[in-house]
Amino acid sequence: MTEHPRQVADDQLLMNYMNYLGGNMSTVSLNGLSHAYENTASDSVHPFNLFIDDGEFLVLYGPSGSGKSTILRMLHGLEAPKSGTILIDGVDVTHAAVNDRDVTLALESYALYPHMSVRDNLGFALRVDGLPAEEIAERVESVTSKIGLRDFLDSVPGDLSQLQRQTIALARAVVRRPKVLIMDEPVVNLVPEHKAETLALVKDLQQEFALTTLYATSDLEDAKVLGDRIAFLDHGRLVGVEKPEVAEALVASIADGES
Amino acid sequence: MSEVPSPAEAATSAEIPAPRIQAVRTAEHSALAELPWHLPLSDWPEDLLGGLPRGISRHIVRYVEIGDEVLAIKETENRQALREFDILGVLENLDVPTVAARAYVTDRRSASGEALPGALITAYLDFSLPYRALFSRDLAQDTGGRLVDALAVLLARLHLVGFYWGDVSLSNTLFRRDADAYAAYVVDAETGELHDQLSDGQRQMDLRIARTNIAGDFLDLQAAGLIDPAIDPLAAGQRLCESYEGLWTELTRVEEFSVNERWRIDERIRRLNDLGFDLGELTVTTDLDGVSLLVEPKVVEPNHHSRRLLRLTGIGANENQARTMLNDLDSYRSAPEFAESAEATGEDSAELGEAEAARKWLEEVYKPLIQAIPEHLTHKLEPGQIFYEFVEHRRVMSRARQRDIPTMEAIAYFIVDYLANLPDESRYVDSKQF
Repeated sequence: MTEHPRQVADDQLLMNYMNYLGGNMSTVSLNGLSHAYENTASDSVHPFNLFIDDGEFLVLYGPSGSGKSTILRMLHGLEAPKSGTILIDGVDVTHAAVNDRDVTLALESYALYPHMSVRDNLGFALRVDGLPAEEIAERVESVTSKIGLRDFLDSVPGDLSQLQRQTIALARAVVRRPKVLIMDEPVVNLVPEHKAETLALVKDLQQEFALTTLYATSDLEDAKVLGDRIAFLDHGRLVGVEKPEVAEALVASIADGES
Repeated sequence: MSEVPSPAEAATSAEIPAPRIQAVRTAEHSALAELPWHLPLSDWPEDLLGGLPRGISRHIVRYVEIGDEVLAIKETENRQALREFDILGVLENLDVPTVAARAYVTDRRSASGEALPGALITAYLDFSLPYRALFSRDLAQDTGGRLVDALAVLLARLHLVGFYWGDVSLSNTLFRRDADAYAAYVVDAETGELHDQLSDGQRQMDLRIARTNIAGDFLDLQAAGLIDPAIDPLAAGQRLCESYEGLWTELTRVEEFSVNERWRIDERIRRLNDLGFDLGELTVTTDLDGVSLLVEPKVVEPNHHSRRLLRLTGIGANENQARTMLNDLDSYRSAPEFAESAEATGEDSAELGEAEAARKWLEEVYKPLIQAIPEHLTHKLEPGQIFYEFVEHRRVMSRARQRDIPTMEAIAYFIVDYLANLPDESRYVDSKQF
């Protein structure tokens, strides 16, 4: 089907407007993507197709060894696919270097620096990336306003609560405004009360900034809380992509199929 | 000792199961069991602790002295404690510089029965210093650059054995003096992964994280007033990337030579030796026309000078310290005193092989220095660093006095004028300065 010229113009206008607002229009297309480790006979991820829409929160759900982390690592550039392509906003990044694909891993940098203000803790990575001072200031103020920590810009981490510190650590990924944010079981080692707080924080940040996000977990409850859609993985195969409301039924049918 | 009830006592009074202390690699198992595992590490009594926590960590870390060791105890989740314990063990077996894992603790419960995080126990690395301490006490020029260079060497060694670190930073590293440079050790491996071989993407990711984290490390030092505000923190991260890439290229690149240029293989080996590496295995492929050779290092082993020194003398030392000692050994062999000493025992110095010369150097140069160090000064520096500092001190003194200083005289001046005035570095945590 051919798109009407007016429709294309409207889409461009919308994209410009989103960029003006600080949002990122980002889609991810994984086409025929597969992966195999060296010296192994079978694929660790069998060929699959998956499209993640702009601003969507997609959860990759499956047990350990199901291939969810490997998919994230291929998207991030840490593992080379055996076959297939990875498109971000329609651009083929399958073989691009890590720094050339605008994918950020949340909590890529964990530590908050004790002598640096919240402002500097959030902004220093942007300095490393070569952004001008005015833009860094604008981004940091924008992010802290949205997460309710603008009054703490000149505080040091020691003055903040644990949840506030965790928020700043997560916001570091957001302030970079990546096209795609990925998270690989970031709450797996947290005690229950911190886990619940962190999940809520992750969801809030993702919605606030409409970030295209892929999140790997082996916890179905977490997947249901977070995902707009859930991609189910089993032994390296994508067996279905569903809304959270029908997750239980799909898990039951996968279990039936295996028994 | 603290009056806080031990886990055994607490377990009896409140019927709490004692924690599981597993894979213990120390003789002090019972002393470990006596620690107050039913309390969060943040609540451990001060009188139990051997020092203050490190500057930047996701976790609470405490130091305790048990037997003749200082142990670092890091509070982390059960699964994570086991995972990091295993990774550190593998790295140690692969001869990568790292702290030694001693045990891990799971199934901790408070007196009221609440689950507590697990813990990883590692041995404190004697004579090591965190980077913050080096900046607060070492005013030598370009300390930061030398630390970054040491970290680049460590990262290349980790990548050679297939270790993706995932959180490269000065904060996650400890440093030991190594002649006029530093040797870096992995101290936090919880984000790491071991692979058969790393992809380019994994190496790129480690460098990207390193560049950002090192800039953060330096910016934080500036915010704390520990380094000159004129220093460019971003340049330090860039220096790591350049230093690493240069080393990695030399260690791994495939070269093409003409079949008439076999001497270039020797040149390559010599360059690797100068960088402190040995070539364990080399693949040489001749093209179909028999005109050119493709030369690729397959196994590259670090510590070229350390291993040579160990083989000749039995002395264990860091790479640059060993280089200094081997140079001193060469000077010793060519000095007139060596010929006289050989004659005195009825030997011909020209015919004495390197091994015999090393034996004489050990007895006449190295041991007299190390044995002359009074017991109360042995905590100042490692023996290898003492030797390096002695050689430097003797050289400066000789130049100032325009004459060679006899060894025993030089040792006396070195101890009184120099060594006695240095701070103790064997157990930095004891000094409670960070």
